[in-house]
Amino acid sequence: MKKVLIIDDEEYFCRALKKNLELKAVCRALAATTGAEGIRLARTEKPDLILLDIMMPGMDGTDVAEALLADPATSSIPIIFVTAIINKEDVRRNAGQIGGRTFIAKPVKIEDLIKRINAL
Amino acid sequence: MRAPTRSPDELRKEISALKRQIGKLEKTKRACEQAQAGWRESEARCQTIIDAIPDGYVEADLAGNFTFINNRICEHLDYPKAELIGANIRRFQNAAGFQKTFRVYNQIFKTGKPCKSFELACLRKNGSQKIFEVSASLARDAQGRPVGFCSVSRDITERKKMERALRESENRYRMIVENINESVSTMDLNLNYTYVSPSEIRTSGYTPEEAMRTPPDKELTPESYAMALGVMAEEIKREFGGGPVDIHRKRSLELAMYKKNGDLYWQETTTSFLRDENGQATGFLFVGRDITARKQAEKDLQAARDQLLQAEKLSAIGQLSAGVAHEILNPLNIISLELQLIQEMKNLPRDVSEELSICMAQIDRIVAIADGLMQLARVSDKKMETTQINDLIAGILTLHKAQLMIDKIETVVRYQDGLPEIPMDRKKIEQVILNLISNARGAMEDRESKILRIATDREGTDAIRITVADTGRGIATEHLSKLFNPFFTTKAQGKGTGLGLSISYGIIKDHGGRIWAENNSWGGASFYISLPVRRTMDVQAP
Ligand SMILES: Nc1ncnc2c1ncn2[C@@H]1O[C@H](COP(=O)(O)OP(=O)(O)O)[C@@H](O)[C@H]1O
Ligand SMILES: [Mg+2]
Repeated sequence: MKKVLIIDDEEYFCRALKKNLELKAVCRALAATTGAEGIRLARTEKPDLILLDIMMPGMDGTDVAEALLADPATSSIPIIFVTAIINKEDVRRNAGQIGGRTFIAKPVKIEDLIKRINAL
Repeated sequence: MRAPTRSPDELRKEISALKRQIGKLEKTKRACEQAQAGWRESEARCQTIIDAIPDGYVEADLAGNFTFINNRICEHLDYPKAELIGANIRRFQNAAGFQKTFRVYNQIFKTGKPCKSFELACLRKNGSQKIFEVSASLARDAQGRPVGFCSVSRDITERKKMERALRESENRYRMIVENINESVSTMDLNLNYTYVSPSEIRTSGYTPEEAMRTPPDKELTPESYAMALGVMAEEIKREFGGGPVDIHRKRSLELAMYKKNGDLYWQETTTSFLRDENGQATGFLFVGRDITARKQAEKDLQAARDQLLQAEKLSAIGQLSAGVAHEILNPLNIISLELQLIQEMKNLPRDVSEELSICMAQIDRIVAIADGLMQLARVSDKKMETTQINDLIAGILTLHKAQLMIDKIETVVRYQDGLPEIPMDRKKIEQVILNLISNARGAMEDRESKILRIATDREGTDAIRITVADTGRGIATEHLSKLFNPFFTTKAQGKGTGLGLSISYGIIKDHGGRIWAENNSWGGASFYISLPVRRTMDVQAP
């Protein structure tokens, strides 16, 4: 079973998303509510996919992504940015690909996310 | 010779007869002397009178030689009397003048009738000309034979000069009035036209005659007519109210008026009272200047200011909105996930899952609003592509043809050929046009005739224009200034976000263009977009 790491400062988001994914039994989900914790988990757990929030206090999503890419241990793990600060229309139009990055807009439609995970 | 002898008696008789004779003669002599004195007196009086009258008096023989003149003539012609007596009138006239004189006097001689009041020009000693108004008649001797002419002359040189000056100034005035672009008209106090200048044809297309026939309430819009009447009534009241008035006062009005062809134009009309020589008001004077261009410029300026204000407001609101949207979307995201979780739970009662879908649908609405808000803030990352606007519109219509047909909307498109391609963010401009189409569709929902007109045009050399017009319910006047405000909507709860036009506004502004709306005279509304054409000069050399 695939392993997905959720990094988001919203604890309830992590919990709800985790529950959703596990309920559908698509993957096993881990969650971190800070960037630092996320990076640590990424190194130790070697997830198949990281769902990364952008607007986080302290280390934000882009910092986390940079750190992950800089580390050979984590640089090959695919990242999907899950964010509210992007226009859903833009995401839809560009099939999630904007500037070489993959996005999912909040609120997350679980069906969309499952498709992405299955496509890995 | 021998004297006859007389008797003393005879002699006495003869002597007394002689004495009587002498007495008679002496009486006669006295009478004669008296008469002579009287005559001399009356002649002197006559001369005095003749010299005293302000007019010249001349007697001349039939050949035109002066035989008698009064002092006034000497003054008039500036010659001493001695030089004038015996001189011929011809000496004081030029050829043309004398010809005329000859004709007139010849006529008097032939008909025997006096000639009253003809003009006669004479040269003075110093060469300057004097003009006289002359009355002349034939003089006859005791037997009634014509012997000459007597003439009374009045110096009218000054009057003539004034008349000419008046005529000249009148001509000059007329020339000015007829050639200026201002239109000048006068009315009596009952507001009947008494004069309209020919320049009227340039301002309104009416000839002066037509303008005088056209009642003022046909020349002015009802509002302007009411205003003009009000001002005139006020001024009449002030003028004749008995209080102190400034007779030089003027009032300036900006009036909306109709041309002969029905077009509207703006006139700045300055009005004052016409006055007679006593300063008494006798009518109105109007001087009107076409200020349509100025009005338009003012309107444009105001529009530019509004746009700027709108832009500032938008960018402030945009930044705020993006923040708010983000804050809303995060909790919403959680709610959404929780709902999706519940939806997946086993053995949910049917009505619960129905309620849950309603919740999900409402979340979608919130998301749509938040998306709109974020777009407000996010107009700057453009992807510019050189685009033929006609193609872009054609593309949109191909995609939406079916929907428009379902809505029973007739779409009329008019493309201007040869429009320059201009750089734009295609997706965004598409979005703007779609917004306009979607609004038009909304406005025509309950209408019988649903016609959507889309047109492209050239706007001078610097811009292209896109028009999206509908036959919908139009825009209330008080809403015209608010349309582009974020959240302004007249649509029912849940039907509109009030963001479509403000986003469109932001996009068009970001392209350096303008977007505005007007109501159509035939009903419905028109939205216009003007996009600047980048001139070749601006394109960077490779
Ligand atoms: N074509 C139109 N005819 C009449 N009114 C219009 C038209 N387009 C826009 N409006 C008015 O402008 C308002 C704002 O439009 P918009 O910003 O697109 O928001 P929304 O469509 O969500 O109400 C509309 O609610 C409507 O009152
Ligand atoms: Mg709209």
